[in-house]
Amino acid sequence: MPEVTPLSPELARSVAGLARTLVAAARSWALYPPEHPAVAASLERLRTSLAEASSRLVVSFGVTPDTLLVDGVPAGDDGPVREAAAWLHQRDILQLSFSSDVPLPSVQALLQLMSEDVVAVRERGGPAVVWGERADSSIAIEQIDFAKVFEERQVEHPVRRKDDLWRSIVRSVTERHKVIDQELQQRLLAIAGDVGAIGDLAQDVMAPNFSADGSPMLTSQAAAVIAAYRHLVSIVGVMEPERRTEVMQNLSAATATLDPRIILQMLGGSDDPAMGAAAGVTATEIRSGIAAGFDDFKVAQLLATTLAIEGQASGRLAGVFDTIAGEEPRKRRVLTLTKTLLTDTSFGQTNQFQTLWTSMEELLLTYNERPFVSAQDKIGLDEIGARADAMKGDIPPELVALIDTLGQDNVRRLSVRLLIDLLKLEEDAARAPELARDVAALGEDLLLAGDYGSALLVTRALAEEAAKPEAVTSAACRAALDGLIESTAFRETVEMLGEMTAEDAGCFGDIGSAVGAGATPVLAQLLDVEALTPARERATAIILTYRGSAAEGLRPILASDNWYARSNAAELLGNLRSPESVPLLQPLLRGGDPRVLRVAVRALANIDDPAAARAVHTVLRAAAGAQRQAVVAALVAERDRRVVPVLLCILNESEPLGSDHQIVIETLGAIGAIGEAEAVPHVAQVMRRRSWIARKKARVLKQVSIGTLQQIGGPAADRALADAAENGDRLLRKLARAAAVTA
Amino acid sequence: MTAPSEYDELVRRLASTIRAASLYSPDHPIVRRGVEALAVLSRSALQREDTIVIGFIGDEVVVNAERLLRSAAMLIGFGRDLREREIEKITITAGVSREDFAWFVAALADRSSPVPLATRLQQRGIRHIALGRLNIEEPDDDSAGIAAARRVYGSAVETAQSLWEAAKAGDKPDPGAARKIIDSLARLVSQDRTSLMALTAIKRYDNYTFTHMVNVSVLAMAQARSLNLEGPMLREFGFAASMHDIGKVHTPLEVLNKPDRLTQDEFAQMKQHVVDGAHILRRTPEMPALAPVVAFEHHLRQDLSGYPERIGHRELNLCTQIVTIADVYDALRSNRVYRDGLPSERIRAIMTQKDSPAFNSALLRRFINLMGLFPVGTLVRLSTEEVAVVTHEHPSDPFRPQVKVLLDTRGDAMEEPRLVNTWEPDSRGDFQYAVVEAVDPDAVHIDPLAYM
Repeated sequence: MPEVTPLSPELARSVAGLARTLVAAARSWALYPPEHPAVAASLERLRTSLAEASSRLVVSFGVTPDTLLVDGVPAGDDGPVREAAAWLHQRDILQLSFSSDVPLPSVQALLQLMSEDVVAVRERGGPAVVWGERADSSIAIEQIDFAKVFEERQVEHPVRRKDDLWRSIVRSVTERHKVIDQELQQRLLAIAGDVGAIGDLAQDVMAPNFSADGSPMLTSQAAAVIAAYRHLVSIVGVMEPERRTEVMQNLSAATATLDPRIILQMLGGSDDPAMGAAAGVTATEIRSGIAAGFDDFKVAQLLATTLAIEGQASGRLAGVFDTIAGEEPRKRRVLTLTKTLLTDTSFGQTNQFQTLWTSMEELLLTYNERPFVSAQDKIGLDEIGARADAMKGDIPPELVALIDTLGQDNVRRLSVRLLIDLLKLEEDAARAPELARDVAALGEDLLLAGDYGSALLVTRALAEEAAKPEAVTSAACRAALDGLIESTAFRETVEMLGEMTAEDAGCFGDIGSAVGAGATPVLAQLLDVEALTPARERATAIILTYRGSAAEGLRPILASDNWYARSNAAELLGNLRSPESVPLLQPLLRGGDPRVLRVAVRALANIDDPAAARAVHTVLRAAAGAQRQAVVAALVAERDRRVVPVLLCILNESEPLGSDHQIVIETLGAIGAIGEAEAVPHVAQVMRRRSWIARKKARVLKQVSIGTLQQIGGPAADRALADAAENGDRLLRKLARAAAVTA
Repeated sequence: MTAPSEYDELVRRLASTIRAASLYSPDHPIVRRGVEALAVLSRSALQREDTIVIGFIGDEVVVNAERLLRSAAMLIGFGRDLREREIEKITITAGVSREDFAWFVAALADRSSPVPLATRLQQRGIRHIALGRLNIEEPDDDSAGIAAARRVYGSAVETAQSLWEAAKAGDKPDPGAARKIIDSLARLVSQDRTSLMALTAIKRYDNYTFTHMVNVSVLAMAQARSLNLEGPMLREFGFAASMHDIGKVHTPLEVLNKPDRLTQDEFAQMKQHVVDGAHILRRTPEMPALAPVVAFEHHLRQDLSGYPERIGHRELNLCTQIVTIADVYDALRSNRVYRDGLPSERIRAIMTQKDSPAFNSALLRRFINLMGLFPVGTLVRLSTEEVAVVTHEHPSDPFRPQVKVLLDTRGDAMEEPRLVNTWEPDSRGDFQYAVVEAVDPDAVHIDPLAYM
């Protein structure tokens, strides 16, 4: 068979694609009405193939009975090309050309013409004449009388004649029958000597193996070809054994003309034991024979086409390549040739090609048939089960302890430890949220089960990661902790806080601290009780660890209908000693319940921040009568020294001889009631205020101040009073002296 | 129809309540609360379904044919615990009461009773909660012998490859496929047949990765079996061992196959595989709880001086330690693209280096014994300079096997190979034959298996 320069793999693929879609569209057109979805889909596929082929300048191809010709070069003998060629040939087409953009109606018209009765078309002058009447320039058809050529060919190659004997042979192969008829055997011997006939036989046995959309069923096709070859080799082996080598060479030559994917499948397939016994020759022998007949160029061509189609080297290809090319020097030779072939294709010109090529080369070169474990070691494994069995009666104590590490509790601990470690090691921001959620979910389960020790490990891990702003897991861990706080598990655990043992409560307290101030609203629910229960006490202790950040979380409980809930929350706000508490306490001073008011005032007094005092001051200014007295009474109710700074602040920031006169008078009364020496300088200062206009107010202010100092008592107050009697203004001196006399 | 989330909540409650009952007394509020929740949830589900069947298949939990997503380790431990106690199915029927649950949970948490739980439930008259085994079709035990073993091994390697490729593509490895093959391998290991010569049949490109997965699995299960671990636990070892290196799917090939010493960056990439493996496995349904742990820990070493670094303290569990041994052993003995596998003697010398923190010494000693000094089928050189194949081990003296002499003192093939018991002394009480060393079959062009 003469060598022909083949089409580039890429072009061959393109033509094969067009051929396949053309046949599939024709089949649909013949089977279904034009409006059927299958027809529409196949037409669309055909147009896509046409467009693709046009872009690669494959717009015109010649037709022979066996193949399509592109610029006179056969496009291969593979299934779709051959089928399309035969189909077009039967319809007297010599040449078919497409413009770069074929309209849909033209494609439909072509298929319509092709589906008409061939004899009727011939009677009208042939397909080119009929198409010419349509005056459609997007598709051009040339026609020829192939009958004559075909007849000549049959005379030239009688062995390839598709007569009844030929069909019987094809049937015996596809149906896996043994050929016992003498005439058939003689024909098989003749076919075995003709490369072209072998190729024809291969095509014919493959023909039934196409799927509905026209794509080849590669495995079945390869198996069919191998089966056909085995028929040939078997009969030669029995009747003319001296020809075996020659026949194997013919098989190899014929194989080289097949679709590379089929070749790959043939050479990489596995043996079928049933067939091997029946045919007297194994598929492996056939494969070896074919492979031996492949020269470097053929192997390179096969490799290049397959790589271009698949875009990568597969293990199967590597195996086949190893079978054909064998030793490394040949492999390298073939690879060089392959690279040259591929470099001209668009696949070879892509940016990724060099990278892909490196990995392909590595794969193809490093493949070898050596087992990966030495025979000795393989044998070493033999009887290992029996030896293991013999040993199990004798287990040393240290290993018994090790077996205990498989216990459920330990495995659970290991799972917890693993998740925590994974969280700490995580560097992938995309993976962090899922991981953090899993850790939190584990935390929930542990809380539900009451395994607070493990739950603490988990929450601490989350909290530690959340506290590292630079960690990729930081935000995810914070979100996971927030989710944990909102979970039923956490809420239910909080509800049981009062019933826990001191140890469990301590552990949960640590969990509460770890999850952060977000837990305050959940914990604060335990404040809705009048008595100081363990639950309230424990919840309060946890919330206190949040400091000022807890304040906002207490807002819901401050809106409770229960005075004690509000009161407990107010007390807690005061104990937080944080400026954040002030705005939440302030409204309580205006509320109706004096019990709450009293606590709120004390709470404010507890907060060492000017804002707290200002809050009281504001209320005092705004309130009148009973409410103001209530506030003041609350301030002095327990003679708590901590309220003094608040009172002094009010004193200092008020206008004692103006609108704040009454507030100052009451504040002085409160200061006197508490009797704290710290207040003396402030009272002494107020005492010296003078006004020409408000003389009456000034007199009252001085008198009350003197009284306050007397109430406070002690050396500092005495000194202040003495100083007033000595150095005060006239009125003050008079009042101070009078007071001293009275005292 | 009951929503999967309700089933999920039910099982979660069941798991946590049983766990709580093992930590606290039955009257403890947390147990009471769990029982109450169980009663409410099951009542709700039983309004829509006749029965609630909770099945445990491996670490998978299935409720009325709904497979639950695994949310956390608690559930994993739960399934595992029940499986260990041979409880594969819990059936709850209408009429179940809070008291039934209370008693059931307490009984399940009580591990001290010698009476099986199912019997205790019956004795107690609890009719609405029943325990049972799942009716899972066991695959036929295909014919014994080397052919069957080869089939199993070949299939295992292919499965390993598909699991690997699934993980590489970012999918979850199919645990069903893995389980099937682990079951087959476990049977091979558990049965007394010569089996793993099937290894010789494997010839495919770079299948070291996949044969290694299978070999480590087999070696780990064999070690586990020698410690009297059977059934599900044996399979758990097989699972964990086969998947221990799955994180390498994310390691660049050039790092993975580099014959030279890795650079610092490359080593950092290599080290990442233990973390990646743990991630892949913990997200894979049905994967035993030990599998991600082993994947994470198998390079840690006894003193935690290995990798990953910066992790919390732990005691290595038995499975990790066994897999570590199998992993290193198989890696050393395997032929790679860039080097031949080391002979057994050399491997033994490497692995038993004094004071090495890599392995648990007791386990390692046991492993060496398990592998045999001159196992059956080994080609050996005798003190007479003859070459023989070991045909039987001596029950107590591993140095003195029965051998079949194949090559004479000149290296010529014996016309009729003869059997020799190397343990038998001659008339003077001396041993005429002693095994000197193992011989590489390729070096003398002998397939020892042909003489077995």
